[in-house]
Amino acid sequence: MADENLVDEPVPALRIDHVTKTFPGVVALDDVDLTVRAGEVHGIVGENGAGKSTLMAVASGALVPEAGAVSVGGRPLRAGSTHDAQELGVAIVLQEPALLPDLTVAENMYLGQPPTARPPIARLQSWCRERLRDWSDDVGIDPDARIEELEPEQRFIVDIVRALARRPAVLVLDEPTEHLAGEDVERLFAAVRERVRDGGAVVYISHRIREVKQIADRISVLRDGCHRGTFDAATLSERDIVDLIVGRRLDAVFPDKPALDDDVAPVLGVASASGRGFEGLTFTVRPGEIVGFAGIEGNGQRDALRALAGLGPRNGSVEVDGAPVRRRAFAIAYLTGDRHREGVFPGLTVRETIGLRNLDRFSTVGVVEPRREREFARAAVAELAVKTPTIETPIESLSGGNQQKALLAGVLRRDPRVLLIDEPTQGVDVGAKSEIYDLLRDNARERGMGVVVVSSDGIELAGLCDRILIFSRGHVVEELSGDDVTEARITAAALTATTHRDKSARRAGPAVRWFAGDTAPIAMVALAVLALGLWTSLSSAFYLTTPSIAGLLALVAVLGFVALGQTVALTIGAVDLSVGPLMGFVVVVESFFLTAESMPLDRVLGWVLLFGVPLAIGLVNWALVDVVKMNAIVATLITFIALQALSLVLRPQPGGLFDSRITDALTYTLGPIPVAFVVLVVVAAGMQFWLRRSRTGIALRSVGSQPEAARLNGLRAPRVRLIGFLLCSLMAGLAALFLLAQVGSGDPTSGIDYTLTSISAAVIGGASIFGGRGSFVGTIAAAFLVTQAIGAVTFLGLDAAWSSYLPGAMTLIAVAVYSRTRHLARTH
Amino acid sequence: MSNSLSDPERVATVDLDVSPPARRPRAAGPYTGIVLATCALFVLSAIVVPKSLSAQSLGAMLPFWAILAIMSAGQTLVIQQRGIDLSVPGVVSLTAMGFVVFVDRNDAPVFVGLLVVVALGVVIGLVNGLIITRINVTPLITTLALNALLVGAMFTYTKGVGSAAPPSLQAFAASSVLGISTLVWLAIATVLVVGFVLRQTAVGRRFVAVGANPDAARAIGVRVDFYIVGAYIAAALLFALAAVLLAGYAQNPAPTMGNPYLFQTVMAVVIGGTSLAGGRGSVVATAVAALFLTQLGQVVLTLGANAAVQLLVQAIAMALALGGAAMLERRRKRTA
Repeated sequence: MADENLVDEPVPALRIDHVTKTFPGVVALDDVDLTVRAGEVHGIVGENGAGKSTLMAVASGALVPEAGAVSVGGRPLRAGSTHDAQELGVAIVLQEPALLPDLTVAENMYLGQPPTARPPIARLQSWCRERLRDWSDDVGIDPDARIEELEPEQRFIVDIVRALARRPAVLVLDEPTEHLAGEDVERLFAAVRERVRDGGAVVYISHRIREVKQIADRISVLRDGCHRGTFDAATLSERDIVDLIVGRRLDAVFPDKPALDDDVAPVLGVASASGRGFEGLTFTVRPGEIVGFAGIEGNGQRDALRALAGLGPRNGSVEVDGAPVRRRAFAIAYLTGDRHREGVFPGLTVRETIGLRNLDRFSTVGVVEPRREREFARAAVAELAVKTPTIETPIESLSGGNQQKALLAGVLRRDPRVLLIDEPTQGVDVGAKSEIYDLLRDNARERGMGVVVVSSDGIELAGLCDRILIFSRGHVVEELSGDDVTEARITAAALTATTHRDKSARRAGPAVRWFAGDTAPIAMVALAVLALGLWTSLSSAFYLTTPSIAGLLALVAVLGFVALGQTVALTIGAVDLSVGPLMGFVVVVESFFLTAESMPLDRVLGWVLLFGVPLAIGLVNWALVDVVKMNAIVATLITFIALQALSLVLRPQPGGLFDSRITDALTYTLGPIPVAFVVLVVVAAGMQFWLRRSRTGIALRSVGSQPEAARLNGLRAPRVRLIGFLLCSLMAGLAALFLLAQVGSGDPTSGIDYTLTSISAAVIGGASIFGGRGSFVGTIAAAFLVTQAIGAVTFLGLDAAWSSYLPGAMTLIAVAVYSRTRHLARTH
Repeated sequence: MSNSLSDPERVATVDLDVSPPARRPRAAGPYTGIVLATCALFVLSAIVVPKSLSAQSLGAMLPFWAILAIMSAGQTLVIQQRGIDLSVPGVVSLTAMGFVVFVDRNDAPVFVGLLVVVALGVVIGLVNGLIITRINVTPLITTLALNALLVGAMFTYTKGVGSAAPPSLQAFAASSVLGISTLVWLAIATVLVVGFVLRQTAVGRRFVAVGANPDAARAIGVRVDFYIVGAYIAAALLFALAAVLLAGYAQNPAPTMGNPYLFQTVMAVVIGGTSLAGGRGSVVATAVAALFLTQLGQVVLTLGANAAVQLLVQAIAMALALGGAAMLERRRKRTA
């Protein structure tokens, strides 16, 4: 059956050559060899954890294999370079789309294109709209919407459309239909066929065998990280494929199902429970019974399980042994299916992990007794046969199966009445799987415990469960029990249920969206500026005079420049604490070179240093963050202290009067408007345009938005961050230039306060401390507001304390408002 | 499987062949570096600048270590919860200045003043914690903004004019037990108590778990926000109490007295080996790191350099310590 007539093959579109990839404790890919021809749809099937996604991550440069090589169209791929993969023409649509949440649809589409295929940015919007129209006339996706505002299925469509727009030599689709509505699946299939007709290759990964058989020309089977063969799709029946996928696991590795007594009172009773994602859930679980929740992914089964565990909102009644329980009941224990994110505690040992749920079992008045704790952990490890060198081994160094058993040990030792377990064997090797099934069955029977299982694996549900509830669109649509509990019935029931998904419009209201957008900060700040200005001018006649306004604007210019720099730092997801001392340091350095007595050569050097010093500091900050891998806060804290110390060493006291010709030029005003302020506005406008409309600007925001997704989009994050750090320091240097004109001499402490005010101005202006967004115009407006507020204190005759209160309170209020509204605007 | 129950010890350790390469127990991990470095610093001090280890020099250095150690213990708790508390200067300035002015103005007994300080610490920590957990504002911004508000509050209450610390407090801060400053004993007691709570109590275990992985902690039913808010309250309390001790020791607190502690506490935590990614941490290692920093400063001062050079040396030491640790870590991973 295997394909053997491949001798005189032309250059394959994708060649995977003896690739091996291991994760701690698991061999994910074991010497996998795979050839994908140009002009074919190549299906890849296999169980969860068989290595399908890992293989494609290697092929797209996202993962570096331990051994083996990948070539695309005959050209070798540099291992681990997503950038290279993109250039070679590989496009991949992941289960979790690698889109940047803070960027718009159009920007994400742009980023996904190789340099040659990118449209001019001026036409980006219309180009994006055309591409979306290629997909469907009523796609309903706004090119200007942020990805985080989109529904999951819309994100998939964007990711698929942008991959298709590249006309890739190799298109990889990883479980693409999981989130698509019926007509979109048809559109996808049409697009895939068209791509293949044009000579491209498509790799189609799915666990939906029927779909794969329908679309694929050839099918490769992966099992336990090994390639089990490539076959012509036409020669295989669905049954054959299932047998190949499952291998020896079809045999009875599941424990026997005991006969359950119908008359026993249920251990868990749920009546008309509802919550996010599910409605009207009513069911019971008898002691010793294992009930499975099945359904196509995302039909509410997982939401229901989490709500029962108290991890989501729910109403309706839940009773354990006939007694109603509160939202978080001790008698109900939950074990997550997302072990990496929600199960394992990094740094904790096996002993501590097992003990965490059972602290009361070996503590007296809240104090843990080490000896009893060790005994407890050893007994649990022994009972579940967790393979670990010692109980003091860090849990994350165990294999997936043993991590799961250790977590299970912790839960079972708690002796819950009801165990809710999500994906009990995800990422677990085959041997450990049957052990886990035995454990669940034995514990259910011996302790009279009720078990509820959610699994995406129909075979697992069929083998393990006494009863199955099929979920569709949040409702239980069918119940299988007794002899009906078979994989075929489960799959059929799930597939025949109305799985058609609505294109729901759950977008937040326009007010929330406006507040969460980029214009809200500017508008709000402008309003505050006007209100404060009005109030102050009513209190003091002097406030609106030319010298007063000129003085204010000159200070705004200083804060404005450094705040622009801070905005760049925040945009790349860092924060630069060193900007304040850097300004002071530049002022001190220049006080040796730009005095009235300085020689011409000194002056030249001084002007060179004005740019040289900040660039050097930016480089140091970047190296500490990206080469030494320090946290940005700590790294810039070090340069903060070092620069401040250097300033004090060079000028223990202020000294070195600046040449008045230079300071006069820098403080020159046109009426009430200082030239410095005009320069600031021009620079800010230029940077705003650059951030929105240039590839570098988009790259900066991408890296800040989500570094990993940016990498998957072929961006080289360290390089982008270097630009960010250099630009940030450079802006601080410019701020220092105007600051030195204000202070007049080399004052070592003149810059120090600007660290905090620059952060305030940047975040009030709308920059997110989480990176990915920022508006330079907003920053300038906020710099105006902060300066104005501090200045207004004297005009209003307020206590000096108000020059602290106002910036502090404004920062808190602004960030709180943005945080809440951005949270609401995001769809989940 | 069932018969193995009889001998848990055997089963728990028998499967060496199937497990990943056994690593050294973690106890010898991230905290050994700072202990060795501190020992080396003291040996070096003894050889190069023996004067820095004179009774007089140590007597001047240790009380400042004590105050830094207590504050750094608070910073450790916050950093273990993946946060950072930049409101240290504001808390120190408000509580130290507020305390002396309150006692002076109202002729209040010292313990009443202390009660006010404790209440203030709880409120500050609660505000920090609630803004961070309920409104989802990042710790950096929250504590930075609150710092400004606290400095403002200090000016409103004291007008920036302090007064002498109450004589009884001054006497207490200057007293010593068994020839060692009472402050040092207090610091040692604080560090040991906090360390014990974290390692050996149910509350401490859950606290560490929340820091290591808040989502996982929530999934097993731990009230995550409770522990995060608790970290900020405990930190503010420790800052506030250390500030009162500092006021007593310095006799005349100044408004800017807290400024150096922002960076020093963060430095002590970070070079003490507690990860900014949260989770595990060691207040003892932090206290050792505080000793390292204080002694390093003392050595530089004894050599005749000024405070600026002292700061510079500390910054460079920190960069080297962290850079070196990162390099070692990477090499270990590569060879593993």
